[in-house]
Amino acid sequence: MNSKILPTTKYFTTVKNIQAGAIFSRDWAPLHSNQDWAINKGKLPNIIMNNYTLNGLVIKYVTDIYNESTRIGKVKFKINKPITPDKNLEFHGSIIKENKVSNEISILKIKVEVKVSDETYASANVVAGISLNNTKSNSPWKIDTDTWISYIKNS
Amino acid sequence: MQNDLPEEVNKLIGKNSFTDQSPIMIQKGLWQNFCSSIEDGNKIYWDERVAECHTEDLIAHPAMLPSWVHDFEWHPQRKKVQPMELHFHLKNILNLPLGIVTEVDIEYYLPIKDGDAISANQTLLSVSELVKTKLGEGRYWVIEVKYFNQLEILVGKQNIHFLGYKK
Repeated sequence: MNSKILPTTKYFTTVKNIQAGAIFSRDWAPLHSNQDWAINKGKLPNIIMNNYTLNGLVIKYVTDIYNESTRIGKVKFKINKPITPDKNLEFHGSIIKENKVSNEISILKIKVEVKVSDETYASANVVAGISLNNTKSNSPWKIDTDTWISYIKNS
Repeated sequence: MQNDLPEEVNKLIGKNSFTDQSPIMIQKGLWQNFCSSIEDGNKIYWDERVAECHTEDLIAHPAMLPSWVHDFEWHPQRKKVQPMELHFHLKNILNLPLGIVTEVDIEYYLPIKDGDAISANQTLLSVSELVKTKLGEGRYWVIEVKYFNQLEILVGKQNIHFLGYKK
């Protein structure tokens, strides 16, 4: 199939939300929460966003587009440039593969790019099960574990 | 087996080397703090009535799977357990004091819920030959982390790609 472009969303980084993302994901490394350490000892421009927060934002991007029945199977991501405070992150996505496993459920492979202006700071491939009508009986969460893992491996 | 690697490293490849136990029981307040920090209002993390339709109960944000085996920053009775100890062990053996994560590949098999307890096994999958990078000379390596719940059921898996280097 041709790739389908998904809506773009934005997230503005601040000292507070980068610190909160790190602390609430139990990541105590000072480069994510201590500006003095990051700048003077880490030789970084400022504190930087941790992996878990970035992964969380990528997952949020996908689940916000579809609905709460969306089941995330896999996220593969790469950070090209550290994400610091006061950046207007833009999340761009496109569906690069769709496997319709029933009348109501598709397994999507989605490419996500996290950009600031036109520069790509991070990129990810996400495998997600989506329900087209968001009903209980056709929720991707009802797929048994072995079948779910086979969808992830074959995506 | 790679000839240019210390025997101690070759022995680690393919073997479960370190195990982490969750120092806490999973609680919704912990994942909701994280969701709040990234402004994620997905109802399966917040609203029992909606979650019931899909996952029976509220579930933790998937991005937090590795977080559950991170120790407290401070504990009154013991020293902090270093997360990803295998990575730091390798850095020591290979005399590569600096390290960065270059890629993460994480798979989610079962959701994590209130009251679960997570453990994790770390296995070294591969170590590259010596390479010259912009950051310095070093090696790439991949560590697989498998996550289990309190019933010892595999709930997810993560492959973390590192570059260990020196200036």
